[in-house]
Amino acid sequence: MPRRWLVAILGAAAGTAAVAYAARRLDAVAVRGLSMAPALLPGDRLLVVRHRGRLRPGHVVVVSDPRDATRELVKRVSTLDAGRVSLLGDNRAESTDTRVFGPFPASAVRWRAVLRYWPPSRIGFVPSSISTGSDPAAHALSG
Amino acid sequence: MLTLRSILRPARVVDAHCDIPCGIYDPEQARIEAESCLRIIEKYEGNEDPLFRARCVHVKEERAELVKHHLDVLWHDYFKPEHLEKYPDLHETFWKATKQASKVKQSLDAGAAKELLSMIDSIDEMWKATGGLEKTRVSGRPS
Repeated sequence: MPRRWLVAILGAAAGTAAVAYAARRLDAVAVRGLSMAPALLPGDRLLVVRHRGRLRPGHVVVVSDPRDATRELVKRVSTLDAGRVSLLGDNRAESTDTRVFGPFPASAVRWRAVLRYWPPSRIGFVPSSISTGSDPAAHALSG
Repeated sequence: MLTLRSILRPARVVDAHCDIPCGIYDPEQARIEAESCLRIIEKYEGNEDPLFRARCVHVKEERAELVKHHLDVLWHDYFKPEHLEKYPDLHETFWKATKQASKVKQSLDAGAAKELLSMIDSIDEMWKATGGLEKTRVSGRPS
């Protein structure tokens, strides 16, 4: 029945478009360094989404490095003030962040980290506040 | 863009880094230049040749400038606010040490050069106590 086929074809096209749209707004990244320990550890893989709307303190975001635009940093939103955002690493003693660069324009935040999907033992949502280091592995690393 | 490949092996890396370049911060660098200053002053004293003496002054000033530079890098880049909490006189120590380096640059006083060495040693103690040795030195260095 041609009408059903039409519906099926349109539905498939819409589904494909939705998947393609979602895929464009999502990305996977690998973490390097210890400045976000213990929430994020070197080698963790994260699902990031294109950020839209309001930022909140606690959000873990990806911004390009003000010193080198080819690199990206992952830090946590500390405070927001008039379109400017302070970003800090959870592991303060081993982080280079707003304390060095000053605040970032909120528009510099393009991506937000939502899910830690690898390694399997650490699968979960990216915590929206600084964890106090209950993870013994992180403790060993932050020495 | 999220693809199966990017999920399995993310090409995109986000830095949770402490600073970019090499992460090597070592008071020894300043100490060696300061030792140079002391030795040059001693050689200056033991030689009457005006040309040799002129070279001594020139090289000593160059080395003293390097002491200041290396101390500055440690001060701004290695030490963090957390370390300041632990060592409230950190700024004072660096300020005095860099001033002492200026003194060595300006004078031919061996005593001033020795004083500079002991100041660098007190910075070295703070560096070691904050884990500098383990954190920034490449392992496997012959002792």
